Amino acid sequence: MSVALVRVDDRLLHGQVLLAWGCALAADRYLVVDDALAASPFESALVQSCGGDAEVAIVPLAEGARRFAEEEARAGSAVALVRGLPEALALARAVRDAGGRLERVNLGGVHHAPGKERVHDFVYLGPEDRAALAALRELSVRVVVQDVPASTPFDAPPAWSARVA
Amino acid sequence: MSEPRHDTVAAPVALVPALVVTHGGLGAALLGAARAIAGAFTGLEAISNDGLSRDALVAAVGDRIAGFGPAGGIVFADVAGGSCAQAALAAAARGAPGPVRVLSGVNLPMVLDYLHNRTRLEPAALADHVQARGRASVQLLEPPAAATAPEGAE
Repeated sequence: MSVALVRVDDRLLHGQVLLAWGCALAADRYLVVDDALAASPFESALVQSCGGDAEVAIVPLAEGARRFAEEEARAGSAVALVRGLPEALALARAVRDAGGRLERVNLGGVHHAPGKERVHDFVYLGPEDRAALAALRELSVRVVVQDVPASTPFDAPPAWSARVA
Repeated sequence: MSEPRHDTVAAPVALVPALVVTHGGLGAALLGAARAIAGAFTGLEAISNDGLSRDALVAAVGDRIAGFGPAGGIVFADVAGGSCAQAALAAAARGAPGPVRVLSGVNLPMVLDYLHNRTRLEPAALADHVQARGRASVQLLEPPAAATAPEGAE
């Protein structure tokens, strides 16, 4: 089975993912694709300890596409996580280059940081995020805004994207 | 039910500092409820993860626990494995002036127990005591055996 949800969330694996999405999708596995986390043994161990009975794998972006493809052959349900839209774009490109396709991304939480402006309750975008949204659109990746399964999803509006030159 | 043991302490100890880190307004509500029961207090703050990224939440917790001092303190978090608990552990590991005990599953009896004992017990003993109180407070309540059902009830 392929990955049931690819989520952009700058908190990565946390309560909303484990308790809401994890239950709704009956997730057996979490695939956290993140360079910073993968480079830190302590942070990796901390996040892995949060998965309970579910398997938690933490890999750098360079390994994301391979792990993504491996999920096709595995039983059960997996949730993949990246911390930002630029990382989602990098993963989408890597998956494409490996012969696959990332069709849909869940935009679940990109919070305030310097240089970002609020476009939604849980979505703050800076120039890099807007450019990534535009590029994802060009790759025909659908970006769906939804924090928890119980909330109403909607497609990221074109106005959130940077204009493509 | 086993009640938490009340350790005997010969002399008061320095107030053990603490922080409550939760989703939404839970922490502030817990402190408000604690004030309604125990009266006004200082030295215990609540912060929310609302609107904060993982890194921002770790930084916010780190700023607070930097003031704990070399004897350390306690961070109360709500969901084990959630962003608040992760931030507390990460901030403690990245550099706190003393040992930080992170207790998840925070509830009102735990906060009240902390307030009652924070100048009686050393940090490690206090964390144990509060944890025991929190566990003991979760019960399946049933009417006393001798009680009779209200008239008209089935």
